[in-house]
Amino acid sequence: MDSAAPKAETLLLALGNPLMGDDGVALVAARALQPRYREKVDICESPVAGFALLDLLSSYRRALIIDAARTGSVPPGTISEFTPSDFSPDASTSPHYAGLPEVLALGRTLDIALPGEIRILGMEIDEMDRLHEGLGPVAAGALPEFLLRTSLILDSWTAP
Amino acid sequence: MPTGAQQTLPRRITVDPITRLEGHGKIDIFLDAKGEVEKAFYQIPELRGFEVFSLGRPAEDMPQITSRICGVCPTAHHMAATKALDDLYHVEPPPTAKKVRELIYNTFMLEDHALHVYILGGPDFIVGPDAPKAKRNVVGVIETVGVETGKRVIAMRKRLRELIAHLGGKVIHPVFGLPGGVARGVSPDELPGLKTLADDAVEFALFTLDVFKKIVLANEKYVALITSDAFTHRTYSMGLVDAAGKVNFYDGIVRVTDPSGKEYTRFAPADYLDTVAEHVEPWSYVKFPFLKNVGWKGFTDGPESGIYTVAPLARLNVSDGMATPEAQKAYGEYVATLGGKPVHHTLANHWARVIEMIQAAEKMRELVADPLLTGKELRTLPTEKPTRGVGIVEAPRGTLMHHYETDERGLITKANLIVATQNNAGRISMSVEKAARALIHGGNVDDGLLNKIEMAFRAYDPCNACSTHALPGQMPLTIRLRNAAGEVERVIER
Repeated sequence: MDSAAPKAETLLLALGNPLMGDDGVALVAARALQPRYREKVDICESPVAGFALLDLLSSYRRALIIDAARTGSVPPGTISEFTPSDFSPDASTSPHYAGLPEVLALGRTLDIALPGEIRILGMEIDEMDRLHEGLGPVAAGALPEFLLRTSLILDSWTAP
Repeated sequence: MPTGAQQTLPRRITVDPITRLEGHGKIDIFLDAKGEVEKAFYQIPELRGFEVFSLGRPAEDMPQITSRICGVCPTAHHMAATKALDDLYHVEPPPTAKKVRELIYNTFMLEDHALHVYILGGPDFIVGPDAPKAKRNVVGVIETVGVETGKRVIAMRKRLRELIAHLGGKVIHPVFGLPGGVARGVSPDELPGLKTLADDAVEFALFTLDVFKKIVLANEKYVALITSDAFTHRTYSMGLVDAAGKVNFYDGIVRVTDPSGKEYTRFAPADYLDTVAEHVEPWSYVKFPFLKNVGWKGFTDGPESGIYTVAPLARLNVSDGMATPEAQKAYGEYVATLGGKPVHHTLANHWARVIEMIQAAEKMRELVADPLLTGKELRTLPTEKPTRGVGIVEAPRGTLMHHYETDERGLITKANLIVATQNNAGRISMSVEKAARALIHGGNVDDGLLNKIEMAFRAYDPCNACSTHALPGQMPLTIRLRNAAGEVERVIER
């Protein structure tokens, strides 16, 4: 994204690493949704989160974050919706792990405009620590639903 | 396997979710028959498949590939890989290309260090090690330093990141490095803006030193903690130095000093394997680099043990001083206060990091004032056949080594990385073991264990990013207690 360009009201933020197989599933989804939404929504791909989210999220009214997930509590391919309050801000031991709750708290403390509404969709995957390209069969099979769920949220936000 | 099933997750998840900055840390603590700590290891997650992934790929792709491995220091990987390509193709970049690289690299160092000083490591010192857990977070840091300072930090980081994006192509995955040069130069009409930013950066770095002095150094308890035995290891140190023996992040000779501060060896990047070897513990896949001519003597310090340390503390130990005037002044005060060189107090890394911020900012100012920066010659085109290349830079977290070999078409036949946190893994293990020994007795685990262990390893600014990192997923810290038979008895996770 060109930082000088005026921002849309809505951000689709895809997190993932394209070299880590299924970890990049949200990036694949974001690219697939580009043609349909690029006029209405800013679409951003990022391999990092933590405090980088502050720069990425600032000035949007609404943001949908899509990502790979490994909760271990649901089968791979499951798509779950989270909200920022699902994640405990004080559960992380390392401040490297500063995540969405801290970023939002920091934004509030410093009067930085962050989205009033943030929704999060994660696709459960089962392996992420081996370098390889492309999606495995489970993630590829669940991709249509991931796209659908993402589209439903974006449509509800961008409908005239 | 079922796919696409919709399911409701528990509403409260105990692990911070979008934690792409790092993989989780694993700590193994081995107890003896009496329940006392026998040994402990800090284990950085393995990056599986890198070698296989790289084989047969064009070497020119490595700066892009390796910068995508890591979301924390892509610029460091990009630069180490680019320098490895210079070596691989036997080309010397023109002076202007080197200046442009250095400007981007110092900007990156300043930005990354600022993040650690104020935000990542801040909870330990700015808020304080004894503050309640609820305060030991970034909001607690802002409350301590003040909202205006917080705004200043965020604004400065943003401007530095914008400069990296402007000169480097992209802030997250820079694309400027080419074998023998850079993809774009700096035009004279960009200089006024760069000069303003560099001046502001110096002021910001000096302001940070002031904050550090007021909050940390003026507090006797903090200083006592920094110099306490619990956070001290007399190991070898490693880091790059320039021709004058001063700290250099981008280039130079690798110097190693012994625990007394005397130079043990120095080597050109290409010769790193003459000095560094990797020890593998039988219970684990983790490799612990050590000085091979000193030898692996286990997780112990002193001149007989080949364990060495990297990162800010080590860089200041191996150098004859800082390369810029204000940083040198701050360095003098640091050395005098901590009782002379070398400094072996792990927590002094935080202070050393602030001093490095000053050097990085002053370097930016120096480079912007250098007429060579806006030169037109950006690249020496490779003409020789590629063979073997090694590139070493000082990443924020310490010495980072990239080593590639190719066939004559330039396709990778061998690739090896030693990342900074790996170089520090032996010493981090020792720090963890010290904390564990103090807190575990008769098999009983003190509740303060995690906090003390965190403090011990956080000073190194360890980065496990060259590994996994997805949504909720893995615990950021897993501690496994093993009995005398090596069986896991208890797992503590947070």
